[in-house]
Amino acid sequence: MTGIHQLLVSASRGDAVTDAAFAARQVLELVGPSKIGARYWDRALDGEVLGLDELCAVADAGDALIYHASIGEPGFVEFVQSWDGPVILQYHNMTPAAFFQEVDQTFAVRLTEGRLELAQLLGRVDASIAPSSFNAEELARLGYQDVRVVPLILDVQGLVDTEPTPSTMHHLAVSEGPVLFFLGQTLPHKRPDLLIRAYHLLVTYHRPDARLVMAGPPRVPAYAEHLGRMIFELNLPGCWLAGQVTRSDVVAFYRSATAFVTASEHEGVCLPLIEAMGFGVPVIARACTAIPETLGGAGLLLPDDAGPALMCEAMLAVIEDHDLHQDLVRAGRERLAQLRPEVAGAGLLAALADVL
Amino acid sequence: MRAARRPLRLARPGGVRYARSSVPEDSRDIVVARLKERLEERKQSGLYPQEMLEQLDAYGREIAPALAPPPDYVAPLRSMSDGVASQHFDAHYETASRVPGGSRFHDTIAKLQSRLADRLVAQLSAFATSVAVTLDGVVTALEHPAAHEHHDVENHLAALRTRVSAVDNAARLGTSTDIIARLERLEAAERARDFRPFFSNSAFEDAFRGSQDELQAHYAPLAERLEGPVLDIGCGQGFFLHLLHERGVEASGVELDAELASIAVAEGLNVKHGDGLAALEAVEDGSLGAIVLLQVIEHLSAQQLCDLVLLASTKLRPGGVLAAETVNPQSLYVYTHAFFLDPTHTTPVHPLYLHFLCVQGGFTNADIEFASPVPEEEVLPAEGGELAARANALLFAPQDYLLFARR
Repeated sequence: MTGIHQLLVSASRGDAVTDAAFAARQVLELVGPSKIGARYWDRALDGEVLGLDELCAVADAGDALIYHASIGEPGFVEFVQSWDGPVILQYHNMTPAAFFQEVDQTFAVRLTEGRLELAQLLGRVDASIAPSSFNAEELARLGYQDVRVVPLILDVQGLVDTEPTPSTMHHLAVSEGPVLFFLGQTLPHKRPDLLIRAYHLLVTYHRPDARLVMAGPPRVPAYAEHLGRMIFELNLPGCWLAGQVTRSDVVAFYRSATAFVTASEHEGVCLPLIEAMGFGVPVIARACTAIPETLGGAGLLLPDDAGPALMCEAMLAVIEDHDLHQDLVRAGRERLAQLRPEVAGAGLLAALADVL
Repeated sequence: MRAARRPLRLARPGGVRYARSSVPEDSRDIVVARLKERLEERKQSGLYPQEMLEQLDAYGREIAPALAPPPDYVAPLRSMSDGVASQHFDAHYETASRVPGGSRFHDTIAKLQSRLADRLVAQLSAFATSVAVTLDGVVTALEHPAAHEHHDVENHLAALRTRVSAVDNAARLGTSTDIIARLERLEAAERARDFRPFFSNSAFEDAFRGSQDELQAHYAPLAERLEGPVLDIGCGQGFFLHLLHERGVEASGVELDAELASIAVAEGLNVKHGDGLAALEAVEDGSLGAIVLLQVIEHLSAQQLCDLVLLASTKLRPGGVLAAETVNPQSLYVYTHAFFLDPTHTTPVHPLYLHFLCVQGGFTNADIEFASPVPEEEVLPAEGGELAARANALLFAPQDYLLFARR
């Protein structure tokens, strides 16, 4: 029976691409053997993830390979090109390197190299899939044809069912004000600075009791430090730059949140928006890149050039307008139903069936 | 500064309140429109003063210099590629034939051929577009090299040059000459960091390291402990190779400095001019009895040292020895007398780190042996008691140490 294996550059729990690969593996195992290979992985995934050589050893000739492209990595083009079987490219989006030119040179180079690698793989790839039409269009601009949009298989319910950290729940419950939550890497293109500015207006003019929790790994420590300094100088004790947190903490934040807010300028999908829907938390976002597509109408979608004052008004409206709040929660639940893992899984198999 | 920048907190205005409105479905555009109206009303009433918004913007600019919208590489290249695609390639096929029915046959073949050619042109143009887009992105990202990323940049440049030259039709793209010129500028900038002194290295060695005879006397005990074949990395004029030959041990050397290497060759030694790591890489796995680096590793970058240890463990046969002598960073005397005398020294290597590196790199046994004690007349006399002993340990610890690691 033909196996369908998956290849990542690096794998770690909580990483969107890795989680998507594990969720996909459950579906692919219905078809045949399915392994996940990577060059780097968390010790926690020992045994679950194979090295590249091991992957080759367990794969039979003619087995298919899904390559999850999200960053450049030396040697991967050669590996994929020498794969003895059909190759499917799953494009997870690469943030434009321009966002990183000033803050992380090496990362910027790896991102642009990633795009170069996509161009090099053009002739070798038998089919390409992308989790959003935004990503698909980007791939098409690089010369790929017939890119199929297959939503990611997401286990939102698994996250919703996770026990929150009691101390974090308690910490946020002590004062009764509304909690605005943002989850995402602390990086310039996510525009955390804009959120802080909007929050500053909110507590200055409307809701001194509101809090803003921003969680996510600080990939560029210097940038996170800048944000910390900005929060300090604007005197915003209710603004919490939580950094990298555990899954249980994330659940505690979602459960305590009045609204999920993001000012992000570039997203290939933006999974936290969907997670927020799972927790019944309304979403406020700007209409940038794949965000409108991910929201699918469920969320308060501001213009892509919305500034801090308009974002502040939106935060206030969701906090204070009960009907709007409820409407957004309901719309979120409806949208989530369209993204059920069974539906997405069937979509993946249907796309693969056309290729294999 | 903090107090001056802190804006006033105003009381919550009572003027505008949210009514409990029912929000019908598909009306979120209306909600946004209403939010915009409300924003304007509030600005009119004095909320969100312009000055404050500007100050907040200034914070944003200060902390996020990278927020300029990404340059649109695609548009100009797209138009170029469109230009290529829209060109009509009019192939001429000879259809006349003297054979009966031959003209029709030739005509059919020509039609098939031109269809094939059109598809080829379309494919070429698609490929050219994607290559142009990505190459331009790579070069743009590289044009602002951060100084501390020097090594990364160098490696990336080398890789990029290889890739650019690998893309055959890059030369046909209008932008490729520009890209190659920019890459060459970057390479020139990196080359500018090279150190090429006017004096010869042998003069430097004679002046500061000691005569070849002195060096041989110093290292003779080490030569006794090694079995061949030995690779001496950074062998200089080859004094240590002479010692090994005298003892009948098979040995070769590699030296980065061309002049020193040629002296060694002239003396009949098996010495190559080139990079030590590259030379080691070329050796067959598990073939060496010993790898020797005398006063070399302090010239390497942190990454090169890591690479060296790992490579050494694969190139040595079981029981083979990695012997590396370097200055001892635990002796402050070293800094005033030796370390900074050589402008090409990069980083002193701590003995505990080197030991750790070898253990991690797969060596079964790694010993640190201290050598070259500070001359007695420099050391504080023993009658100074415990204080003098402690000061001596800190200031006048041995100047060198030898790592002797067995695979």
